[in-house]
Amino acid sequence: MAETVVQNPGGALERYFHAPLRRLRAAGVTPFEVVTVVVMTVVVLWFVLAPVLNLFYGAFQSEPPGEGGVWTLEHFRVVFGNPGYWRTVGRTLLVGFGVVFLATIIGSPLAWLVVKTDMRGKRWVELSAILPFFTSTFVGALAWILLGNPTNGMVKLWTGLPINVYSVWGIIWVSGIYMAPYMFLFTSAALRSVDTTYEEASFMSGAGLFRTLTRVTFPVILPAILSGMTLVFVITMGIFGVAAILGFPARIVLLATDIFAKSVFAPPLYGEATVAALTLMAITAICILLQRWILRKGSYALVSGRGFRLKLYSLGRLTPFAYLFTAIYALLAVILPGLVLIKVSMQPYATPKFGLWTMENWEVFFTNPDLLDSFIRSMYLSTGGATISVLMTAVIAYIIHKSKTPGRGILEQVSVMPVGIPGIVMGLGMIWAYIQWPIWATVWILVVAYLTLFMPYGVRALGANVVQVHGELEESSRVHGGSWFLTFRRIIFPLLRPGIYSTWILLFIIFLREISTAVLLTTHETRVLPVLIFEQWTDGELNIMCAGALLLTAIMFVVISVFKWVFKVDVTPVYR
Amino acid sequence: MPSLTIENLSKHFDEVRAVDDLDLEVEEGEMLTLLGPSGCGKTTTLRCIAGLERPTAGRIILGEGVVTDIDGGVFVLPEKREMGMVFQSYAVWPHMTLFENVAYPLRARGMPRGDISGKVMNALKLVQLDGMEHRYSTQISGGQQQRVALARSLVSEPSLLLFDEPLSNLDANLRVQMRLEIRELQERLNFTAVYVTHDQTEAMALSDRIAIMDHGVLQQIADPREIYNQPQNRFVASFMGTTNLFEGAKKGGAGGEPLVLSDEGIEISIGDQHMPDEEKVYVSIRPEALRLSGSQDGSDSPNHWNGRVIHSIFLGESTIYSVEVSEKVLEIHAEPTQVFETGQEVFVSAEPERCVVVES
Repeated sequence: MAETVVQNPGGALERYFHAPLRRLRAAGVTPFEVVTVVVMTVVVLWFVLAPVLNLFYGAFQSEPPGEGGVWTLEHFRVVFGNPGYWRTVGRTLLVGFGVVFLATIIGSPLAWLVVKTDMRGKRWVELSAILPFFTSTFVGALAWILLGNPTNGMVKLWTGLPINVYSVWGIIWVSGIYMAPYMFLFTSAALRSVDTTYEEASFMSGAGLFRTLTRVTFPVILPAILSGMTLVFVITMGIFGVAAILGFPARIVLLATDIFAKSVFAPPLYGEATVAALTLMAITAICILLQRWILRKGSYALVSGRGFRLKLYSLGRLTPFAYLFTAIYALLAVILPGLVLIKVSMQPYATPKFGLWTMENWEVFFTNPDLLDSFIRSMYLSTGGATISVLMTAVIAYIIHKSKTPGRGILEQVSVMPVGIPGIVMGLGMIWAYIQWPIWATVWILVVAYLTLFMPYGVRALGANVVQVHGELEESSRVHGGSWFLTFRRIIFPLLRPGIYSTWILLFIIFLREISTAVLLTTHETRVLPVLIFEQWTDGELNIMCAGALLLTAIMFVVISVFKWVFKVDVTPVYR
Repeated sequence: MPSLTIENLSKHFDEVRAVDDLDLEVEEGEMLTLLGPSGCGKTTTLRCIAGLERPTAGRIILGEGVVTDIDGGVFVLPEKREMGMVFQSYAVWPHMTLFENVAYPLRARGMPRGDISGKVMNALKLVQLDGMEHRYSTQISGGQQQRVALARSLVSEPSLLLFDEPLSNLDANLRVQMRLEIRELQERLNFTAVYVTHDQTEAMALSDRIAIMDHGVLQQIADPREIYNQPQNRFVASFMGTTNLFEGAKKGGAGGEPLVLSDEGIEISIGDQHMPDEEKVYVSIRPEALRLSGSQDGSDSPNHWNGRVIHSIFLGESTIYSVEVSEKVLEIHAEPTQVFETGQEVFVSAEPERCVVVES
């Protein structure tokens, strides 16, 4: 009887090693590919899961990160038992919905004007709609303190309007106008890909402009708009800069600032902060699942194979309103905030008056070693981080779209998961995961955090490029004598180069301006420019703060201009 | 000495047998076409020859060198096979000029710099694109891109050229012109080629021999004339052009000559063709092998049936008649000078040797 249960080791080897290997071979997968896929999957799984799983662990721990402790439900009891906490959750949701609404009613009509109408000067409209994306919500909020504070805000002094940005409405207003570019980008990309014949068929069926818009154009781009709204909602949930700057003075707390306050203000309550972080993540997860459920039938195949011309609607008498709409938006989102930052950055103290011009606030950034250090550190982090991130996400995108290796589905699923993780939640997760690692309290913790958090941006932007490279372009090289390496160097890389450059820019900008994650992960020795600007605000150094915000914006514009005019790269951000 | 030999080639995708135990030989200087409906395994076969696909089993021998031998563990990478290939999407690299595109195979194979320019210009001249070498693919038409792809596949004088439905993205007129040009080039340069298409007219116009495939299995391989006139089985008969297929049983005639009695009750004399052993017999008669006449003349010769015209289409060079004979509707191609009215009683006849017995 014993013979029947004896395992045949050769058989097991055959079954679990040789046979699968043969199947891979038959599918045309090289061992090099398998190793790359396995390594990337392990790295990505670790990057994404370490902070997330550690949050679940930390929420049940009695002591702060890295100090041991016992399992406990105490934090949940304290946090959930506080009625004020639920008011914070409600307020956060209100802000989220408000921002999505405002961003959509600004961004989507602008996109329609640019893509589908005969409006003149579209380049300027497009510029006004995209510029606020580069300036970031944080810098915008700084400017709007000066414009809209209730005591000596310039809007109140000049117009007498009783405006107060230190309110929930102020937070919605500022976040909304700076999130509008996301909706603009999503909507215009979708509108561009709508085959004009859909609309022409509607006109030929006797439908007018309004019916065509509401029954054909809008339903067809709805999935894209919904994706944009979800992204705006998730980003807003984790937005820290605006909520802190506009919320703290009026004691208005949102989940993001609640997490910050609990983990930073003495005494630090990491357990409770982690419970709040889990709440926030639950909200974004539900939101994303809801979006997927609504779009479960998939989006429409929009682009027809042949080249098509975009139907231009004639605006006619409505033209002045279109210009007025654009002009007001540009004024409120770019021109006024820009001018006020420039003015105050060149004055010795915050004043609505003109005069007393000085360059002191600018000089400190190049003379004060602390400030200079963080400026240089930010540059290193953004250039180096964006480079590593582009290389990493290029490999991931290539595996997802081109490899035949089984198991690449895991990579596809996990690499886009961080889209649902708000920045500050990631920051807290990083603390739990890495506090005992040597990278803790160095700039490398930020590199790891940003690589994880912004992986989906790179994977999606580069993925859109990779799928455009037709498989036969590679195969043609192989058949005509090109080795794998030559094919990569002479065919794949050159074809991907424009996409790689524009993705690098996108990541550079995001890395440079990110504050929500950085604010929990930097020490005095490792702080980056946005954190430093935030600290100038807490210290009441408004003039230096303005100079810093402008410096941050100026770096972005210089880099974008160099890429656009010198390297001829399309710098319009890519979203899908 | 065949230029290309394929032995027992199989390619399975999970449960699907894309290519099933295929044997094939291509002679030196021959143009062989793999023809069949989509999903018949013709493209998979071509990709296995190119080395872009690793077969599940079988051997592929190029000249005297084994390039694939699954049991023997041999698999030469595509870039080491010294072939040329023209792809369906042209695959002209958009970031290179036409010159650089055509020079690529020479550079990749390490040809000395000085020899490249002349070869490239020659290849471009062959496809009538000389003078356009500095343009990019985005600046030329689809037909011109196809020529670039052709020049690129020819430039290194490969031992074997592969064509993967190269004309299917072109419009009808250009397709006819390009297939003529490809045939002329092939006859002039005498290269060996395997050509994949689903278009039977294209296959007839281009090939020395045609291999018809269906469901991964080779159905018949022969020159175009034989494929058309002597189809081996029902699939080949109906895929290659149009035909009238009869299904019936064996029957002895009055004089003892073999007859086929179709299920509709039509008696067909098949002359001295070999009668298969199976009970069911299939007969294929091409529309142009059937004759129409208004009066019964020579009624004592075999294969004379009464029918009625139910429909006609005048095409200029011929007229297509639908004629009902014993409840079976036959398609008949008649001379345009022959005119019959719809509903008219007619007489249909066919020579016994053109009533071809085919396998099921």
